[in-house]
Amino acid sequence: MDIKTVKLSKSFDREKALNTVELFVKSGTIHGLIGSNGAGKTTLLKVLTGIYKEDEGHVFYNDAPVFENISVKEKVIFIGDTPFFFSGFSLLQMAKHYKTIYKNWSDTRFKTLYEYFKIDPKKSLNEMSKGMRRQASFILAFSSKPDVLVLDEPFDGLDPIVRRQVKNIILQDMASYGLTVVLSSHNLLEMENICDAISIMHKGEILYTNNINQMKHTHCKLQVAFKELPDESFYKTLNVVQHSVQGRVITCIIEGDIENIEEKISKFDPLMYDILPITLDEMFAYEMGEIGYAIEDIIIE
Amino acid sequence: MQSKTSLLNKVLLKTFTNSIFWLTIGYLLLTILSLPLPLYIASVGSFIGDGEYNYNPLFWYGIVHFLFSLVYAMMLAVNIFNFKNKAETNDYIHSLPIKRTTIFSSGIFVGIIAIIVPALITSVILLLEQPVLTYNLSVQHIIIWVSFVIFAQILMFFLSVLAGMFVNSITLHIEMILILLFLPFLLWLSIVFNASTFFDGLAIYSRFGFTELIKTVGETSLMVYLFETFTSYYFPKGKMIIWTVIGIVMLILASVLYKVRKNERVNKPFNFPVIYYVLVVLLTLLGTLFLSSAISFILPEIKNLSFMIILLSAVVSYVFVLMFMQDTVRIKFRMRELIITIVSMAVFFVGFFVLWGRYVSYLPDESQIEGVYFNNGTAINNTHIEDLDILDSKYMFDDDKETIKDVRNLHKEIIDSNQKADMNNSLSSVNISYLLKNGKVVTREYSQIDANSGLGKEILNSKIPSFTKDKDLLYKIKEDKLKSFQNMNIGSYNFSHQDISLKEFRVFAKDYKNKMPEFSKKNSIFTETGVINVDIYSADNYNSYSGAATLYNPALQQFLKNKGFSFEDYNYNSLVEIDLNGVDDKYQLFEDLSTISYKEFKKKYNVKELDESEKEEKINEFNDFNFNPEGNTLYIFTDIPYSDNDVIPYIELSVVLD
Repeated sequence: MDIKTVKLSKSFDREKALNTVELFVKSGTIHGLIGSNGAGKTTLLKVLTGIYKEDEGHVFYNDAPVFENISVKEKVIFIGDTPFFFSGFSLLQMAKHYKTIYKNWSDTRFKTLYEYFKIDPKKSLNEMSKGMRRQASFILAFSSKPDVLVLDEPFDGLDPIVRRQVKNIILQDMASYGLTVVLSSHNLLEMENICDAISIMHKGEILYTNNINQMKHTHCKLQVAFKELPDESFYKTLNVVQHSVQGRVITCIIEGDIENIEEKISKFDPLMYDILPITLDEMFAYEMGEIGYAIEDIIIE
Repeated sequence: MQSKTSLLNKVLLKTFTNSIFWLTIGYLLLTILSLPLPLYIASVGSFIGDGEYNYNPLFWYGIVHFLFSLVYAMMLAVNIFNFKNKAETNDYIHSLPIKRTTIFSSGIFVGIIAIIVPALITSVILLLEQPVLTYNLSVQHIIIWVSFVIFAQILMFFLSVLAGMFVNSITLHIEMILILLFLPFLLWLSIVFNASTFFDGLAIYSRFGFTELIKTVGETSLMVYLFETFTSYYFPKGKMIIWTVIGIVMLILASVLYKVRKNERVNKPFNFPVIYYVLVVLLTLLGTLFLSSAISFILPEIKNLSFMIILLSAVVSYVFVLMFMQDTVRIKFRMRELIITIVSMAVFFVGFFVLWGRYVSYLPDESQIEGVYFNNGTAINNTHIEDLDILDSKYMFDDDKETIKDVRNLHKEIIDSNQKADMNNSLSSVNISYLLKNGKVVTREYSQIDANSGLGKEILNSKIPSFTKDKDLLYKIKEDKLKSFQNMNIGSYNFSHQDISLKEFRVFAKDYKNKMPEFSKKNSIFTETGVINVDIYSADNYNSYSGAATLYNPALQQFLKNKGFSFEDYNYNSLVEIDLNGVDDKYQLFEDLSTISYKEFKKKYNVKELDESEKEEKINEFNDFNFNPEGNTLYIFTDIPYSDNDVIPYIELSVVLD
């Protein structure tokens, strides 16, 4: 299912949590949301899943709205940052509940998954650890075989092995039946590894959206050492969007045509240089830095 | 797979049922303790009076259980819909492919079943208990009881659900329920009591006047309606239909509010900010009025500082209200909220003074008046206008045109004088009521008239008689409308249903009417003496009727004689004999009795204080009931030896003999 938001806005009293957000998530892809604290990621996810109603704009799942629309919602599962289960319910009881509302529910899958993750299906879920509850929520979600999974900080509390297992299942389902995933996280390395596309949010707006591969083709990081530091033409020629200087070493992010960088660099007679792929972490820091949300050295008394 | 259009969801039904399971079990156990058990205990005693009404023991003994049942219904709503007060549960349930209508109706369904099932189980227990009870508990009794209790609980449940839709916390939910149930009533009561502090004329201490003052809010209060219906065992169809419609409206409104509810407000105390502002204003007002009334009552000396008291009360109330409404002790003061509250309070108090001023100065047009009641506070037996349902419509009301004119003129003078005497210098409460031609009764009561002022003296000296046939309870009672009889007090004697049955009472009342002597209102012997208090208590609806009767009625004399009534109970009083020979103006004598000191009275009239042996002899004579309004000697039971002779004597009873 394609997910599309059109000029989506949402306010809490007078505070704008989402401001004309335009987002497109292609069916069968994993779309990551990253952003500063309070950027509106969770709000966006809750609007996408029909928990909140948008104040302006629209949310479409294959051109159908989601709010109070059962035919869309029965294909979408939301796992929040704190997994929730009915009081006193076991995994088995929750499974019975999911079975009645998600038409693609698979008992076989459910059995396979809880055995695989070694979760006791008869034990009360609220008595389990945080990580196990999160595993349980994934078991239920995967067993329901939704078209869309919306995840808020999904890997929080999971050990590295389980994380890998969960990611594998997600990728399998994407390949087998076109599962679409929208997830938010502060773990940029993980997001870079799993996502097909990312959007960076800040103060209710999307600053940047791009396919990960596309991003790596349009941006790169360069470290270059000079005998004498070059003038401004260096930055212009290479289309440097961000740089820092330490002594005679310049570290910069280059945007645009990165195919002919070597040729351009050599014109400035460097002592040595290194071209590296940009990471999501660096991309995030750059985008945030552009709007003044940057890490600055502070002196603590 | 659940149908998309289904109004109920299995899992939600199960979840909601889990949330109230132990509450329901607890309620069921409490029900058994508070109803079948008391019924059994009552059956081994004989607590029931005589009557031909269809008395239902479940209503007679079930008042405590009824209260529990309403609290239970309230707690059902609080527990079932508590899911929306927590962000986690709220978000989870609303992320599911379940329509809000289904979520709401699943909650309502569980609540209604949780009401019906314990009620039915209790009914079965009662049916099983029937054979061991010594009085009649029929299947019809049980059906009526269970139907009404279920009806009442469902109404309470719907109201509680509606209350919950305005707020997002369990404590605020309970507060909202109490607000919806009691705020209008309490607010109006506070307004009335506060008005009585500022204005003289409100009849809050007269039962009839007070009933009239609170009638409107009383009739719109669910609690008043339910308890009145339950205790009276009377189910007027009109009111039931109205409350059923109100219940349905509450349910629909709750459903609409739930549908438009914004989940993102789950961490805010109120879903709709405007409700918050309205409640802050109303509760601040309630607190202000309540506190200022209390302070004025406790410290009447500082009554003149009323506005300061109001201001102080307002500030204190505002702080406490914010604590309740914001659900925290660390309250935030917001300018907008403060301004709204101040402006609203100012508008209220302007309206308060203007409207109550008009109320206390209202004087009905003479052409609208059917009858008047006037009591200047010194009548030998102060009679009060009580329930009119089993009494003649003109009971207590004098329809003499001259009397109407006199009373009205006096009333006008009282209004125009606008006196504000303190308690030590004021007359006893002056009570004026009008029976209007449209059937309405208008009552005013004045307690701040200076006794030493011209007006005060005019009131004391008014020629309006304190007792007439119209004010005779036994003469005006419609004995056939009295459906039950518990007991009757005449003087200090109590006659229980074992002394006199309902049937015997009816015969007695008819006899009393037939033998009522003819007397003119200008015959002060009849109007000022021989008056004895009568209180009748019915068995089925806890009603009592209080008034007076005349000892000059042969039917009453015969009744009391037959029942062994003795005037020995007046032994603790002094007995004074007054020679009426040579008293040309008997009216003046009685006026003097209530206006001048005993010392001055003795100088003016031929008064003899009987010693113990004379008193004993006279009491024996009284016990023959040979009272004669044409007689020459007036006897008064009074408290003279126990009080200063310089005060006006208190008269317990007076009567004339040969």
